[in-house]
Amino acid sequence: MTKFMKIEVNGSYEYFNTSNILATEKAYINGVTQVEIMYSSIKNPGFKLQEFGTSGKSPDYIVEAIMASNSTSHTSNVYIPELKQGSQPRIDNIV
Amino acid sequence: MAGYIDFKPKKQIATGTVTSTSSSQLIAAGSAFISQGVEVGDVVFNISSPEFFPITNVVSETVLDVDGSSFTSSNAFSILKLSETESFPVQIDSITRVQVSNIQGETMVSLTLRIDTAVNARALIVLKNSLATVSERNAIIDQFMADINETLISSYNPSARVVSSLPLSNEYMFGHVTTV
Repeated sequence: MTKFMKIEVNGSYEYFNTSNILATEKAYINGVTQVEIMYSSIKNPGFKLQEFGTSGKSPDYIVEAIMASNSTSHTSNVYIPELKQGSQPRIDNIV
Repeated sequence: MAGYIDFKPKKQIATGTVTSTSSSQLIAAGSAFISQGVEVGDVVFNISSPEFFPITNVVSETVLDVDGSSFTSSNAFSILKLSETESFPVQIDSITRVQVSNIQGETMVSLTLRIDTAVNARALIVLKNSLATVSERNAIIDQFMADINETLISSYNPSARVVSSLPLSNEYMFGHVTTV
């Protein structure tokens, strides 16, 4: 079943598909905490959810939220976790 | 089961490329505007620099007078008939990311699509109105996703749902797929 997850970046809403993710990869690079979402073996089209700072909580939270959105106990196809700007964990940027 | 959401943007009746520039005119050698049924009241969408321009006069097969022309040579354009719509179906399972943004004064919903090639694809669904505030754009994307959710949880046959309007009196004006 196709599932989407809602996120908020600088006040703007976005949604991404959580049902056909091939893999996620956490990284802490140049002062940024990020989790990369990969949808195919060639990594495209994927994107990176970034949280400024290297001590961020977002990667673990995002992975947990992806699992939760795909849970059979979650019947809606659009999952809305508590992930908001200005609180922890948060998303500051998407590349 | 793969569900489809079928947007209903305005009907595209002609496409082309700008070949030379003139104030308040669209000039495209090789076009056949009259033969293709272009009329006053239709609109030109500048694909290269997303913006709509109402057509004020059909001068010839290759020249249109437009209101507020801002074309440069090699701009790709599409002409839309506002009184008619056409299908623009998108397979929901292929959508990886949904965004809404303002580009050149137009608001558009951007759907990144998962395809198994080295080239990324994106479906852009353009709204005519520019939504200046974040809350307006958030209302649009929430309704957009509510339609997708409704499609996925309902037993539509053949698993496709037609949508044509959005909050704040917005319509789907133009849809096209591009590579990114």
